[in-house]
Amino acid sequence: MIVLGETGLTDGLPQQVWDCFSGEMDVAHATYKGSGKKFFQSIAEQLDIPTENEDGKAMSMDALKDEIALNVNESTLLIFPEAKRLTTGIRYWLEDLMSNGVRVCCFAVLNPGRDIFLKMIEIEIELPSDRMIRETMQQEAQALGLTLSESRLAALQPLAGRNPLLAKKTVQREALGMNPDKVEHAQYLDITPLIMAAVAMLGVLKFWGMATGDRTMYVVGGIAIMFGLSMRYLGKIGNNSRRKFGQ
Amino acid sequence: MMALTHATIAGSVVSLALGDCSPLVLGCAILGSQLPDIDTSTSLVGSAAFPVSRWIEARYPHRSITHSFLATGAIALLSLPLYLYVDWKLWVALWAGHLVSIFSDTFTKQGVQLFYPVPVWCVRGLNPRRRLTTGGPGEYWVLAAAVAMLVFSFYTYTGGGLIFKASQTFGIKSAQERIYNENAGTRHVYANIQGARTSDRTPVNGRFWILGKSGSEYVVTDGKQIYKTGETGQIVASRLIAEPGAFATSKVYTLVFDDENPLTTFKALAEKFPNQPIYLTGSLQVDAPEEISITPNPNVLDTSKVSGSTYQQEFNSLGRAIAQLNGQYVTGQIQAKVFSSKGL
Repeated sequence: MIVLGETGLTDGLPQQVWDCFSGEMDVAHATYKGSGKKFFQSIAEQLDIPTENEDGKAMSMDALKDEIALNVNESTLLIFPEAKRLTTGIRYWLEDLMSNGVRVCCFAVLNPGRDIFLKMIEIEIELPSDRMIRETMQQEAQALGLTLSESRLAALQPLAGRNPLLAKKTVQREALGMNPDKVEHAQYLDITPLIMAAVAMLGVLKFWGMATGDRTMYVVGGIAIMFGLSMRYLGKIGNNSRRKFGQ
Repeated sequence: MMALTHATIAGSVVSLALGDCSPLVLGCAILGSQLPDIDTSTSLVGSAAFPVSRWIEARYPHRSITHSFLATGAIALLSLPLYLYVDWKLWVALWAGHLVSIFSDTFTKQGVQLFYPVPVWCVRGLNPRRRLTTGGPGEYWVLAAAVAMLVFSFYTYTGGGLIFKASQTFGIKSAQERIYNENAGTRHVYANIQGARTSDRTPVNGRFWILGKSGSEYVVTDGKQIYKTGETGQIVASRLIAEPGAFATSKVYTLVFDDENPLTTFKALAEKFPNQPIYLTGSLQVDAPEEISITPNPNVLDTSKVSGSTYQQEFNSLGRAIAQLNGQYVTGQIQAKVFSSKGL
C-alpha cells in the first residue's frame, strides 16, 4: 500500500508501522539516499540476510537483490518512507517481490502513479485537527523558550494550516522575528470564480430592466456587466510569475 | 484587515445594495462587519467582548469559525427578531455586513475559512504576493476606494437612490416619464430642459414647471409662457430631466355648460381656489366666435384657438379664458386642472 500525506504529516509514521508489525512479521525500512548498495545492505541487515558471500566479501548490489529476494516471503514487510526516491531498478525489483507475496508499505506526498504504485492500495492521511496543530505550536514554543499568548497562537495558526511541520516552522520563524505573513501550506481555495460569478450576477439587473421596460435598470445592469468584465481583466495584472535576478 | 477598513467596505456595499444610507442601516452593517474579529481578543470587538473572544481564540485559529458562511447563517438566524419586529433592512444589513467583511478578508495573504468546518483557506488569487497585508499600503488604497464608494452611496441615497440618480444622469425618456408619473400626484414636478426652440432653433436651457402631459410630450411653463415639448411643440428637448419639487396636489374638475355664460362658473372657480393656478382644457361651442381675438405666437403654445364655432383650449389659464369668453354663451364640457400652489 501507499500512504499519502503532506510533507511533515507522515513523519514518525513509518517507525510506528515498524514498531507495530515487528513482532509478528519480518520488517525492514529503508530510505534511498543515493547509494543502491547501502540501501539493499540496510534491508538485508534488518531481515538478518547475509550481506557477504562465502569468501567473506561484501556482496555486489545485484547479488544483494537476489539474496534478499530469495529470503523474503508473505511474512515480510518492507517500509519505504520516501517512495518518490525509489529508483526504476528498485521499483522493478520490488515488483517481483510483490508478486511473490511480500508486503510493501510506501509513504509519499503524492502517488507517483506508475508501475508498482498503480498496484498499491492508496490511503490518504486525514489532516490533523486544529487542536493538535495548536498543541504542536505550543510544544515548539516551549522547546524554544518562547512565550506565545493564545491570541498570538490563534493569529499564527492560519500560517501553518493543518500541517505539523509548518506549525513548528511558524513558531520558529516567530522566534526569529521573521515575516509573520509568509504562507506555505497548500490548503488554499481560490474563490476568484465565486466573486466573478457574484459580480456577473449584477447583469441580472439588465434583464430585469428589459423585462419590466425600465431602461435605467437596463443601462445600469449593462454597466455592471462591463464593470465586472473590466474587473476580471484588471485582476490578471501581475499574474506573470516574477523571477528573481540570477534565477 | 483593519476594523476601519471592514466598517467602510461593509457600510458602502450594504448601503449601495439596499439603497439606504440611514444611520441605523449603516450602524447594523458596521456592527456586522466587526463580528468576524470577535475570535481574537486583540481586535476592537474582541476587547469589548473579552470573555467570548478569549474562549474562541483558545480553541480556533483566527479567521476560521467566525469568518465562515456558517457564522453568517448563525447571525442571520439569531437576529431574526430584527426582521420580524423591527425592520427587514436592519436584519439584512447585519448579516450582509458580516458577509462582506469575511469576503474582503479573502483578499489578504492568509485568507479565511469561508467553508468552515471544511479546512480550506479561501483566498482571492493564489499568489500571496498579490494579496493584501493587514495595515499595509495596499489596504490603505482599499480603504480610500471604500470611502469613495461610501460617499457615492450617500450621494445616491440623498438624491433618491441609485436607479433614480442614474435616471437623472442619463436622462432616459421612459425613466423621466416614470418619475413624473410617480410624483405628479403629490408634488410639483420640474423639467430641466436642454434643447432648442422649434421655430428658430435658438437654444433653450432652463428649468420649467410641468403642467401636464399632452400625448407623449410635456406641457411646461417658465412662469410667463406655456410651451409644449417635441417636434410638434415649441421646444425640442435634446435632454429632459424630471425633478420632483415641493409637495403640492392637483385636482381635475369637469365643467359643463349648456348655452350659458361661462364667466359665472369661472369666477366661482377662481373664488373657490384663490391664488391657485387653474388651467382649462377642452372644446366649447361658442355663439359668437368672430368676437374672440387671439394673436398666435410661434414661440409659445396656442393654449386657445378658434376653429369655426369651436373654441379649443389646452392648458389655457383661467384668467385668459375669462378675458376671451367675456360675453359669450357656450355649450360643451371642459376640464379644469387646479394646482394647490404655484410651481413657478
